[in-house]
Amino acid sequence: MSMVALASMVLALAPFAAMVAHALATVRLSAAIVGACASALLASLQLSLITVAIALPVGVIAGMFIAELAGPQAVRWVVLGHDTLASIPPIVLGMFVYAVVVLPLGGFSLFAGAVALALSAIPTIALSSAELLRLVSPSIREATLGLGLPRHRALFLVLLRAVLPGVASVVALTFARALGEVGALLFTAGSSRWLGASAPTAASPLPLEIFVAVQSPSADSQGRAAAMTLTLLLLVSVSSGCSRLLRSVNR
Amino acid sequence: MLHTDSLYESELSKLRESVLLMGAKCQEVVTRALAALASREVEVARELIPLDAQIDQLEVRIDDLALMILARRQPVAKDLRFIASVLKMVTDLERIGDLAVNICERVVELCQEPTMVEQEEITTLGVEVIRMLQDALNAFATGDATLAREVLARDEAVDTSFARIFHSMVACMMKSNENIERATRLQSLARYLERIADHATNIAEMVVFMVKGQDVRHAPR
Amino acid sequence: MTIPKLSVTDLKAVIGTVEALRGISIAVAANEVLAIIGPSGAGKSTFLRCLNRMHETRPGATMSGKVKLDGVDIHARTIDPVWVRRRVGLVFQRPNPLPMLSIGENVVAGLTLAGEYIERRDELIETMLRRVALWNDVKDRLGKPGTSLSSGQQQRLCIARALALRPDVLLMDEPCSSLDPSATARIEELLNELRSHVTMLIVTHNLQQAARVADTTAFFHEGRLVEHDRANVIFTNPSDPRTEDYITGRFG
Repeated sequence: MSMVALASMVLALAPFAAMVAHALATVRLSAAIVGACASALLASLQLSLITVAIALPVGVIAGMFIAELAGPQAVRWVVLGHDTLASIPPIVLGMFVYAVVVLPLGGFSLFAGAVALALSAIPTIALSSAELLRLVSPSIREATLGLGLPRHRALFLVLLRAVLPGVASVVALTFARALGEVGALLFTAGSSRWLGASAPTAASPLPLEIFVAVQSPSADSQGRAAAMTLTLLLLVSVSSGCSRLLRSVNR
Repeated sequence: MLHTDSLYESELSKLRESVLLMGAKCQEVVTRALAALASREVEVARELIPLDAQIDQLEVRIDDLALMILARRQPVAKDLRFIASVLKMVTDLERIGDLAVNICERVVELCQEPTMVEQEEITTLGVEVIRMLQDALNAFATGDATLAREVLARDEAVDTSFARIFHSMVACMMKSNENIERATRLQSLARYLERIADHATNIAEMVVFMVKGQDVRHAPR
Repeated sequence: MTIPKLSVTDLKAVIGTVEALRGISIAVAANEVLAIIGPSGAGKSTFLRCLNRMHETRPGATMSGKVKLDGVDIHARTIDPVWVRRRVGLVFQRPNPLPMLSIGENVVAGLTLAGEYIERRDELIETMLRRVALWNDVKDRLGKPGTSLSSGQQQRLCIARALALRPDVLLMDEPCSSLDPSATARIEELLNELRSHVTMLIVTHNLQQAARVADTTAFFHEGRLVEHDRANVIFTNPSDPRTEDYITGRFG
């Protein structure tokens, strides 16, 4: 048993290790690059935060709708909608958001990127919230009914608080995943750099920066890509770790 | 309908049977004592006296069993009334046992003296009283409240008979001094019989309570 | 003639295809303690839930007949079910303190969650906890979660929570069935003290409890009210043979 565990660990970590090794080999740590890493890091964090800010309320309300408020027919349609949305490739979502947000607003932005990422996160949050609400002990529901609480108060003040820990876990997961997304960002949050301009008007999130930097063969670019990669790996590790911490605290 | 718990059912049956056994013993003593008086068999009367010990033992056993059922089964409704009635009835039966012994003692004394004519009336009274006790116990056995009420109605006649015997004994005593001892003993005997009738009446009252849930004690008849 | 606190006329209730109640008519006087006894499935819990309009929240449940609280029909169009549930409190079989709230917060949950401002909140919490004989046990840990108490204490907390809303009527659905004998005894003692504050209806499987605690007793069987009388009478000399068979344990 332990041999299998060891083998799978090696199998999983090997590419990771190889990647880190390559990055460490090609990295260039000039002042400009470190500065760029920092602003890209900031952009990534901002992007994830805005994504959560959009996806969380919409997802939770959708979840409440599915679990509490809709009739069985409506539930079936809504869940179908969510499943469909979840199965659309992120890059396609990005193209959709390009049409409805980027064009009207006249340019790329973190906001557009966040919308695209939120669209893919909402189904997960909604369906998880719905499931969590369904799992709330019926005795709590009875208690609120017995106390004469109106339905909406029971829902928002009691049931939501009951599922808060679970929802927080899902949200942390969403945050961590948004950090690594690139497909949805290609047509939405892409910086002016991608269009070839020399001076960036706003920083792009890390994955996008890596994508751009990697395409240029110069050692400087490659070094920059490596630096961004390492930063991203660090960021994702930290936030995954936090998400796991949150889950264990809630148990 | 029987209790779903058959052990409980059998405990109640045992209680009922014990009460009836006690009643039967009391009846036996009184009947045989009066027969001994009529046939002047002193020895028979003497042999009956120790039976009181058996009657007293039965009282103790019945009380124990009733208490155990109360503690363990927490009876309600008719079971509760049954137990409460039994507890009261055994005290009446125990008193009847004592009175029966008193009758035996008087019979022993009377057999050593010549018979008096008036003894006939006592025998008649005795028969009536024994019938009352018999009927009260039957009413208990079958749960017959109607029969029990009939027993209650007969007490008055017994009281009247007793009063009559009492006065006839007084008349006897006034006729001659020789009669005084015998007449006094016969008076006592009659009084014991009258008291047995009162206890039989109490038993009948408890039967009515047990069956109907009505407390007819101290009610005008 | 005084209006009874609670008056039920020809109450019928259906759950799906099952007739749970087949025309119950009963009146309960103010400050009376009514015990409702009967075999499982007799409709006792359904009856309670019709009295605070919780029955209608069950899917597939319908009812007909009148239920009047102080002469007011609780199902009238102008009456808000939420108002009914505050005037008629319900304590459930299994204690259900709200796990996300502390002990103190649980006591006043009915008011705070409804958005009401409580004057002298701490005083209210103390009064209610004293009333259920819980104050001394928990006064030093009011901030701990409501679920950190033993089940007997949790049930008393739920009673305190129901009482904080100052209901007229308190319904209790087998309140002691998940508690040990000493916790049960404490709650029965409590019921005696609560008499002066509320009218109580208690569904119980424990006949001795009904005999100890109740003023009046109602025997339900197969959705019908078979007998309703003073507890003394029911337990010493009931009129209906079905009642007698049930309480003496002769139920086949």
